[in-house]
Amino acid sequence: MLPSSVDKPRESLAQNLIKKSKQQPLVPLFAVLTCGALYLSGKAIRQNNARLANRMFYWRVGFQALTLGALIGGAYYYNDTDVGGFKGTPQEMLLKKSKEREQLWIEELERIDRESKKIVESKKTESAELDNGSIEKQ
Amino acid sequence: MMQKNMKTNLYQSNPFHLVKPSPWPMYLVFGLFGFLLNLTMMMHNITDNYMMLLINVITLIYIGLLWSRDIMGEATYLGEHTSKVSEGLNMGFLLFLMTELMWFFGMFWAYFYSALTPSVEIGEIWPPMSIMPMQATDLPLFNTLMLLMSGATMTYSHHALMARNRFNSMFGLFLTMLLGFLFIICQYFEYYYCSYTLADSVYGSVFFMLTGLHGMHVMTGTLLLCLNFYRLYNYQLTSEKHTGFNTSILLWHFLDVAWLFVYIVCYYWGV
Amino acid sequence: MLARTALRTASTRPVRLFSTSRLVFSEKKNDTPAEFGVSHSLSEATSPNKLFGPGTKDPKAQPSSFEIATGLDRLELLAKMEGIELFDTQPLVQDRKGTPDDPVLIDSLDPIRYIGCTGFPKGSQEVNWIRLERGKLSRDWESGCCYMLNYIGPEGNASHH
Repeated sequence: MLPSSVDKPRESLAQNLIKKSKQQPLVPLFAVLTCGALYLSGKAIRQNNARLANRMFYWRVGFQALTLGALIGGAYYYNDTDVGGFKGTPQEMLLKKSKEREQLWIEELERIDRESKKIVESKKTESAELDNGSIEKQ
Repeated sequence: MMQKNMKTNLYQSNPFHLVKPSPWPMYLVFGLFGFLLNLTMMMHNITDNYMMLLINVITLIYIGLLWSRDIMGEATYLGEHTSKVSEGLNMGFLLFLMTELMWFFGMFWAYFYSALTPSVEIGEIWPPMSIMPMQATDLPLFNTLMLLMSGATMTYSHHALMARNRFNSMFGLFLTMLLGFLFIICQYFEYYYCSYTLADSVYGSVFFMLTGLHGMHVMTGTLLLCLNFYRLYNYQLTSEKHTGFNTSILLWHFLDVAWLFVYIVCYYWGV
Repeated sequence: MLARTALRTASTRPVRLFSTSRLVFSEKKNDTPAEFGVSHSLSEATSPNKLFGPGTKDPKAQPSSFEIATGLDRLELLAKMEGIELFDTQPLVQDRKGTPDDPVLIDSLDPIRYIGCTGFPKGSQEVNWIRLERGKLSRDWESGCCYMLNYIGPEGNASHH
């Protein structure tokens, strides 16, 4: 049986991550820069260069703040339902989300049910054909 | 070339610190064993004795403090930590951070492994059926901002220490400790009001493993900061030489960056 | 506030194993107190008891290393202030291949020194570790390089630290 995502394409985590990274490329960029600054400060500490390490820590905090800003700003700009788009309390939003999920799951179950019924039907017609004698019995 | 001053019996001729026998590594291992045993037994409902776990945690912290006291004595009062020794300590701590990095990497791998191809048991969707993920702009955002701020105050404290400004250095460190402590408290409430537990599908497992791993390290980091505060207060850290302070700072910044990724993946884009 | 005077420093002894602390307690107590002193330069650092700093003058400022460093750390610092690298951590120089008649002389402060030989020219083989002893010729089995210990440490020093 094919996975459910085939007949009804749904955003998976990977697609979601890739889409968001393309949509807001600043976030991964700044995150990588944050890591770079941390790496350089670690290197500076190994060389006993406290001043350079401190400057890199300064950049680390800056880049991380920029990452956060890009993350939250992007979410508001694209009206992400997770952040600003949904009117109502977070509990209501979570409830709505989980209901959506449940609906999806029910649809999936119904689809599986339909398919299994189809199989049963075809088996029935097969056996009916056998009974009619269209295929020789031994 | 060998130096003429070293042509004497008075001092050791190498810059290395050959440590004397110490009981703390062994005691610490016993403490860790008990801690692990009790934690596992509690998680598997074999026992519900919280007291034993508490005793274990106190033992661990106590032995850690005794060990640190020895190291502080060696560094400050005996003057055993030459530049070569602190170089080695720095290197050791960086290697430790590498293992931490690998650990976080492994946990993220587990997260993505179960999230990118959700199995049929969890409804082939991520987050799984009937799991209500946490609201990213709620407490987690507050936590993120607090950690970010603590990074800034940490740098402020370090700058002040290098400028020999005692009050500002202590104040910055105190703020960092406070923010770290607040982070732990907020994580506690977040866990307390969380709608799912460690046992609720693979989502709960990987989520609590990642955030719990980070939270444990923040606790350790806060303890290290407290230790550094004590040393700062007792005039043990000098403006040029503060290896322990440097390494604690590095751990703190590392945890901060790790949290950024935990936040993006576990709370924001990953759900 | 200023807890870093010489006397306080001297009384601080790290607590160790129960077995070794017994040794410490049964140690013969020296009745004459050792003379402790402050050293501002390398010439004043005549004994380990003189390796203490003057302490901080301003309790509102964090001390510098010169003010409070003690022990070997202080010795290294004082040497560095006079432009001397106290500890020799540079790799050994091998500019020729030592022969049994004319071995490469290795300076050493201890009667025994371990060296790693990578042949001549250097790096032409894996490291072979050789133990050099005073007055004994040592030869690398792979490259055939010969080494001899050149003892430059204190005289009358049989044991090493």
